[in-house]
Amino acid sequence: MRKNSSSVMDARSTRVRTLVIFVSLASFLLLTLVRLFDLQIRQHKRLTAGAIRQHQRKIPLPTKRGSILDRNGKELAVSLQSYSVFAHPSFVEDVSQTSSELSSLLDIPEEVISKKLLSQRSFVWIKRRVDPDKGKAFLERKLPGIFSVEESKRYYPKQELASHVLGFVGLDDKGLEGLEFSHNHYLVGSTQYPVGYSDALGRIAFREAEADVTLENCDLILTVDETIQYIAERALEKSVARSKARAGTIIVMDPQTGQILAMADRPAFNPNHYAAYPPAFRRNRAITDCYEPGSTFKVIMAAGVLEEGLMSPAERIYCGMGGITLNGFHIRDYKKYGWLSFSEVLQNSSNVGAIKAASRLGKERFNDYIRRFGFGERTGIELPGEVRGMVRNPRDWSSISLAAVSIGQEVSVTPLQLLVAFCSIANGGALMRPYLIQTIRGPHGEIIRESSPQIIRRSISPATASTMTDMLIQVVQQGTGRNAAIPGYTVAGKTGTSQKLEGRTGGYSHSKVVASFAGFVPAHSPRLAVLVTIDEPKIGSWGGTLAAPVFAEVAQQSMLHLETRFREGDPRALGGRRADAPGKAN
Amino acid sequence: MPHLASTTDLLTRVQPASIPSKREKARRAKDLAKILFTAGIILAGALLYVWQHIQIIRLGYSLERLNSELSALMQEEKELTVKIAELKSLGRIEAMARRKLEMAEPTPSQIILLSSDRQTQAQVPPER
Repeated sequence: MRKNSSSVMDARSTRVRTLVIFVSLASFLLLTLVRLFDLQIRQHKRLTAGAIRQHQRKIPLPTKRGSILDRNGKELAVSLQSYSVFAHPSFVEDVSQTSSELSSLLDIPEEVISKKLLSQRSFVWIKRRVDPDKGKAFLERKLPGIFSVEESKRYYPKQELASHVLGFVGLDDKGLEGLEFSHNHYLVGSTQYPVGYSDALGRIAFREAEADVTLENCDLILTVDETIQYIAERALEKSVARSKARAGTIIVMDPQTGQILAMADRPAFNPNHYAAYPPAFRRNRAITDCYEPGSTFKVIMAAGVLEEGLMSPAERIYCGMGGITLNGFHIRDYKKYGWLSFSEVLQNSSNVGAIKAASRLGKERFNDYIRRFGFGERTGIELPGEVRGMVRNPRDWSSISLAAVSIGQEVSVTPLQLLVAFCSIANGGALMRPYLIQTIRGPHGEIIRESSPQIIRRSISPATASTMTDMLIQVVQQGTGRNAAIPGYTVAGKTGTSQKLEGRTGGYSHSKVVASFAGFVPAHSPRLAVLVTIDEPKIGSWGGTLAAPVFAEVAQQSMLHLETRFREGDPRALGGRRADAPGKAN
Repeated sequence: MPHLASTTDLLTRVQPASIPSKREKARRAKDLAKILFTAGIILAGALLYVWQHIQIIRLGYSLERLNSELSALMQEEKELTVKIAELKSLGRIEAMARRKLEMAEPTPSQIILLSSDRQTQAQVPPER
C-alpha cells in the first residue's frame, strides 16, 4: 500500500515538474513571439530604414571633366585626380611639427599653415587640388588631424597654347572662360551614385547595377591644329615683342569649311595659373574686341562695286594730288597717285580712289554689302562673349560717313568677322559659319555631335569673288602687301593701318594705330585664310611692314605642315570637309 | 519473498514493444531513411543558399578590389598621358632643338622649294 502511494506521489511530482517546464517554455515562447511581433511588425519600418542606413552607401563614382583635344587628337586640356588637404585643428597634436611637415610637402610657407592650424574653426582647407605626386607623398605621412579628399584637377599640358580658346576652370571644377565655360555641361557630365552595401568595417561588399545616365563627361575634339596654333602664336609673340605693341591677334581659318585652325591673342596667359594674370590678359580679343578695320575694309567696298557692275578692275580713277576734302574734312593718301585703275586703287590702298568708288555704290547699297559679309552680327562661333561690332544704319550716317566707311572708319568689327568676310571672297562668295568644335565624343567613344560646314548666306557671286581674288593677288605682288608674299605660293590679301580713336578728344590718334593684314593662300585654291592685327605698335606702324610678315611666316610654315600631313596620308590636311557647292547657298 | 509477476503479465507488458516484427522493423527503417533523406535535402538547400550568399559577398569584395585597381591604373595612364603631352609640347621641343642640338631655322636662301601651289592645286581639285 505504501509503495502504491509512493508511486502515485512520484507520478504527481513528475506531472507538476512537467507542467512547470511546459509553462516556463510556453511563457518564454510567448515572450519571444511578442518581441518578434514588436520587432518584425510594429517597428518594421523604423528598423528596416536603420539597417539600410547602416549597410547601404551611395558610392560617388569619380567623374572627371572630359578632355579637350586638337583635330589630331593631341591633348590640350585633361583632368587628373588630385588631393585636397584639409585639417580639423582641434585634432592636431603638434602644430609646429605638423606645419613644418606640411610646408615641405605642399610648398606653402610654414607660418601660413600654423595660422590655419591655430584657428578656432573646426575645419580649414590647407591646400586644394594638390598634384598627384605630392598628394601620394602626403597620404603616406598620416599626420594627426590632417586629412585629404580626392578632387579632380584640370591640367593644360601645352601651357599658354590656345589658352584664349580653351579658357579655364575654377576651384569648383566649373568652366569660367572659353570653351571650358561655353561647353561646361558637355565636359562635366553628371555624377553617378550607384548604391553599395558595406560590411561592419565599412568596406563595400557589393554594389547594385550602375544606373544609366543620360549625359556623362564628353570630350571636345576641336578643329584647331596644335602645330598651326603653335606657329601662329610664336610668330605673333615675336611681332608683338619686336614692335613693343600693346596687343596682337591672329586667326587662321580654312576658308572652304569655316574651321578655325588657330586663334591666338597676345598678351596670353597660362590657364594652369590663370589667377596670376590680370583679366585683360585672359580676354579673347579675336571675338570680344572691336576695332576700326581701316584699309582692309576697302575690300568690302570693292566687292560691292564689282558685284553691282559699277566699275571694272581696269577702269581708271583720278586720285588727285594725294588728298580729298569732303565737307571740311581732308582725307589724305600716302602719296600723290594721280590716275589709278580700280585694281591699283586697292593695290596702293588709295583712300581717295576708294572714296570715289564708294560714291558710285551709294550708302544704301554699301550698307547692304556690309551686312551681307556678316558685319554687325555675331558669327555664331561656339565661344562666349562674342560681340556684334558696330555698323550704323545708313539713316544715321553723316555727310562724310560713306567716305569714312569706305576706308574702314566709322565702322567697328571683330577680327573674326573680318576674316570670315575674307574667307567668303576666298571660297567663291559663300559666307561660312566659323566653328571650333569638330566633334563632341561621349565617354564610350560614341559621337554625341559632329559639326559640318555651314553656309550662312551668299555674299557675292563666284565671278566677283574671282575678280576680287585677282585684285588681292596684285596687292601682294605689286602693292602694299609685298611682305606677305611666300615663295612657291600665290598669295591674295590686303593690308590695313587704322588710326585709333582718342577717348579724350574724340578724334583720331596720330600715334596709336592698329596694323593689320588679311589674306589667303594658295590664292586660287585657298586652304588657309589668316588675319593678323597688331594693336598700338611703338616700333613701326604699317600693316604692310608689321602684320604682313607675320602672315607670310604663318602661312608658309602652316602650308608646309599641311602638305607634310597630306603626304603622310591625312586627306583632311589639304582639303578637309568641303562646303556645299556655292550654288546651294541660302 | 519477492513478488513474482506471472508469465502472462510479462507477455502482455513487454512483448509488443521489445520484440517488433520483421515487417515492423523494415517499415521503421524505411521511415527513418525518408526522414534522413528529407532532412539531408533541406540541409543541402540551406547550405547552398548560405554558400551562394557567401560567394556573392566574396565576389563583391573581389570586384571592389579590381575596381580600385582599375581606377588606380586609369589614373596612372592619365598622368602618363599628361606627361607625354607636356614632353611633346612644341615649345619645349623647339627650345631643346635650339639649345641642346644647336639647330636654327634655315634662312630663305637655304630653302629650295620642290612644290608650289600649282602642285597643291593638282593634288586637290579647286573648289570653283
